[in-house]
Amino acid sequence: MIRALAVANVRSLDPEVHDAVVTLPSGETVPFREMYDLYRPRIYRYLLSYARTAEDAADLTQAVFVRALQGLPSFQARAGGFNAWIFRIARNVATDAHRRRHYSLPWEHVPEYLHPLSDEEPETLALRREDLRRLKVLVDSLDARKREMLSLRFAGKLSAGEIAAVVGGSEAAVQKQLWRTVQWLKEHFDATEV
Amino acid sequence: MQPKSDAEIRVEYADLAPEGSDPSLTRLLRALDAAYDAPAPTAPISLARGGRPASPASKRVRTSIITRFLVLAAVAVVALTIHGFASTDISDLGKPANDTPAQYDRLENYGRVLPGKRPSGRVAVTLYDTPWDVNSAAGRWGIIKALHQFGRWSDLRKTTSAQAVAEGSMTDPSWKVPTYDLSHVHYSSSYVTFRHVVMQARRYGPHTHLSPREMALLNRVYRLPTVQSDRYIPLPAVVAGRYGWHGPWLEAWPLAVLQVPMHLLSPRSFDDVQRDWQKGDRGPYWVSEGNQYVNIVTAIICHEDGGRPHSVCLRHAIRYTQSKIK
Repeated sequence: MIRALAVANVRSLDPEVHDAVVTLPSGETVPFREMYDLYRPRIYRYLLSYARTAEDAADLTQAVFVRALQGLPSFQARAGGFNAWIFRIARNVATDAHRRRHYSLPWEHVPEYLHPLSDEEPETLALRREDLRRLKVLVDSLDARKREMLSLRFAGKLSAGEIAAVVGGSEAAVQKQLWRTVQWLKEHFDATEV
Repeated sequence: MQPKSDAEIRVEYADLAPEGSDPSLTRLLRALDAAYDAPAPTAPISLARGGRPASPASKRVRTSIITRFLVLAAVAVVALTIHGFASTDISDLGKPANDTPAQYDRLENYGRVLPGKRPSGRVAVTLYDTPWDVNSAAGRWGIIKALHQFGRWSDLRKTTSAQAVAEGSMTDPSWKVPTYDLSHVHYSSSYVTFRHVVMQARRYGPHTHLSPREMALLNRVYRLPTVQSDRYIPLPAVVAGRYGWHGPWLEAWPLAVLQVPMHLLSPRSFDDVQRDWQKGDRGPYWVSEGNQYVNIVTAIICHEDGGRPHSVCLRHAIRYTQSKIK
């Protein structure tokens, strides 16, 4: 369905965009809401890695979908397809926000601060939190490009090909870089275990 | 929330943890998965153009923005009254900026294409592009601004990439990138000569007839075995003195090549884009990318012309960028 949106035109934008209807070339109409529900959690998680607070991330997520609505009529299927297109918008929104607000806390969404990890036993939970703390230190030491690739892979759930379409470069290069980054993290993650 | 099993993690990240990989890798992937797995807010985000109700913090920020806007508007009115209306020179893309690329190791698409010592005389700058192409359209802005410092443009006109789309082009007419029409342009400078070569009138159309020597030069710009008229080649390409590069913006930032045309897309007008350039640091973030490119082009010309004129070449950003040129 989402790929079909590639050539869709936004027929109407109601005051509440949830009710907006996207007309497919076949004449079939699809509520924009479907696309919104599908992508909102992934976009939000990705933007959390840029935003200072959950509220900022929610604001940025809103901006992404408003831009997506505006951009749908001119959307063209390219490398990475719709996934890459909407994450490129998210990246642009995040970059604009970064420049304007000077966000400086790149990975401040460690779940222990935002939401309970699980219903696990306190001891297990404590261990997982310790894992996350060590992981945060390691991820923060990576350069911006590697951090972004991780965010797109783990928060955005994009494939290497889609990430390549968002950040530039070839799929093979991105896959190699992700692989190396994860291997580096693993080595240091193991080495810092107490 | 139940944590994912090892099997689920391995399936989800099969590209990073092939079957039989070490358990500690699975553990790391689980930790990464958990770290990035914050739930989206349960309340739906309003997509109404007005957005959701502003938080107190947001209101303070907005009030502050409105106050600043009013002050700036008052200053602008006074300035206009005193100095008259702003320049109507369409080659005026704002003051030189101090943006310099942070990571030169990513500037892989430029380099020496001609051997030997620096030639005497003015630096020859040749722009190879095509009117219908969005990257070519985006690339012209940076060249215009860079060369504006060394001389004077005349007979520049406004256009969009879509206006130049000829029948049979694959370019979607909705991709209207505002740009300069160079078909009647003149450029006069004591330091630089400018030549514009239209490579293809339309997609799959023939290349402009280039001499074998010039074709060989382009081959070096692209570092390709051959540049053939029936193959796609990335445009624009620029040769300045002994240096050459291709792409609309140098890859000062990895996404620049992909994103800059997107930011210049319709419904933005030529005037909107020109105003963004003139805003400099206060403009959208791509202006900074554009100014990095402008400074690299400027530094290459300064490098090739022995640092003349001083008013351009002795700026810190240019000297710094020049020091990185190999």
